[in-house]
Amino acid sequence: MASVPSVLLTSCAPGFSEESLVARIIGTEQLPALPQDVDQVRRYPWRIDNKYYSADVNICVVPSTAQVTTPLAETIQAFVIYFDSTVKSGLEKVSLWLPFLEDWLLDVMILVCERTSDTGVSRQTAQEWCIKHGFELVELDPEELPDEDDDFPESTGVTRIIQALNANVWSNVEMKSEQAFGIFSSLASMNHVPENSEDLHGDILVSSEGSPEDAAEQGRGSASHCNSQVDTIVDPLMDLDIRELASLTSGDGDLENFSRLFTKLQEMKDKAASLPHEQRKLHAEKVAKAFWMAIGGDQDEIEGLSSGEEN
Amino acid sequence: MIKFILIVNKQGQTRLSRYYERLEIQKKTVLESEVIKLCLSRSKDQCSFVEYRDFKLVYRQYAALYIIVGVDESENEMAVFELIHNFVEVLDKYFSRVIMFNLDKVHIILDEMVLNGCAVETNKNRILAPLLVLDKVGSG
Repeated sequence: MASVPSVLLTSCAPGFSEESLVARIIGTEQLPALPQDVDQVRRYPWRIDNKYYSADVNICVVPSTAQVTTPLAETIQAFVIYFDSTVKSGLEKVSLWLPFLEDWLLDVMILVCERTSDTGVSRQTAQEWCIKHGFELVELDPEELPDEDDDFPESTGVTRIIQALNANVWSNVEMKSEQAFGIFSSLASMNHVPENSEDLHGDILVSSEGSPEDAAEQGRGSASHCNSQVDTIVDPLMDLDIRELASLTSGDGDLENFSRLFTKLQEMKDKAASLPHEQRKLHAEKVAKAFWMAIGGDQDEIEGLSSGEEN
Repeated sequence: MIKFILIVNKQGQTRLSRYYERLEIQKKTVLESEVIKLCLSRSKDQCSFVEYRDFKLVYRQYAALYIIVGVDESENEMAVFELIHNFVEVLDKYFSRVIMFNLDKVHIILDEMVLNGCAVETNKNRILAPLLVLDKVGSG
């Protein structure tokens, strides 16, 4: 139980049914009937599931600060409190929680009321209180509805509470598709090229499908294929260089490979410098294309750019 | 010149900050809390341009997020106001609304748009092009 994070939900308005709010957050008509715990904490399990992650949390309803025991406090990761906005002193009872919240340092703290009222706690007062204490004000039944023309309408009421809770990074969160970002991981995951690329660019890029040996083998195959077509313009050694370049960018993509990539590029540049003018251009084109394909560029974009070696 | 750009949630927490002028971390914290309080406490009917210290703040609210930009007097508020919207439209185009787990990408987008305190690119396709190439590589 201790490892399941909690949303602490409480009310300091007499007569408010916390359960109805919990039910609306969880999205069920009827809450499972729970035996009242000895410690007067009512726990309702809630599975948060959105496009990024899923997480199991407990919504813990407590009547007052007295029921918050240390074990419970350790699991709290969000705080929702309902207050009575119709009386001027409505916020005073909320303030009883502030010393606790200073210790807990939560990311999500929401101040809920039915609707701010000018005779009790006004929107301005509530808003200022929230900004001061790092809360967000949510009215369950706000007076102004969001502008329909707004492309990015503000959500209100329970919807907003759910959103804010979804925006927390729970300690037990399970990310869906663990996507790798950044250039290294991008290069690392570059494990295949479009199937037809071998036909069109077999001479410049053979990327690895699987093991390095595999790639080398494929490379040999296409090297002869290319040589028969492009005569002996490109010497085999150069061809090998280009292939290594491709494998460097599509391999494991670690830092070492990456710096090797630059060394390799420099070597190839030096070598190309000794070639006759026309061959140098052709060579440069191949390198550029290989590099383009290796970083996952679109084949369409380099199609037809070739200087006359098309089949 | 743009001095800084902040993305702040309704609870006043900074979700993203980008400074185009060197500032000590402590000063950043103070500045952020002052700026955030100033902008969040304003009602919707109030102007989106606020004078603050020796520069101007331009902010816009989108659902639960505020985007706040601090600029010096040489900058046109209206242009910055539009730049914010452009930025949000780009984010919207790329992310379809939720960005919480992709802040690195927001930084990439922002860097395509603003360099050294100046807006350098406003075309959505061109802004997203490098990111889309990276994604393509990433997904194989």
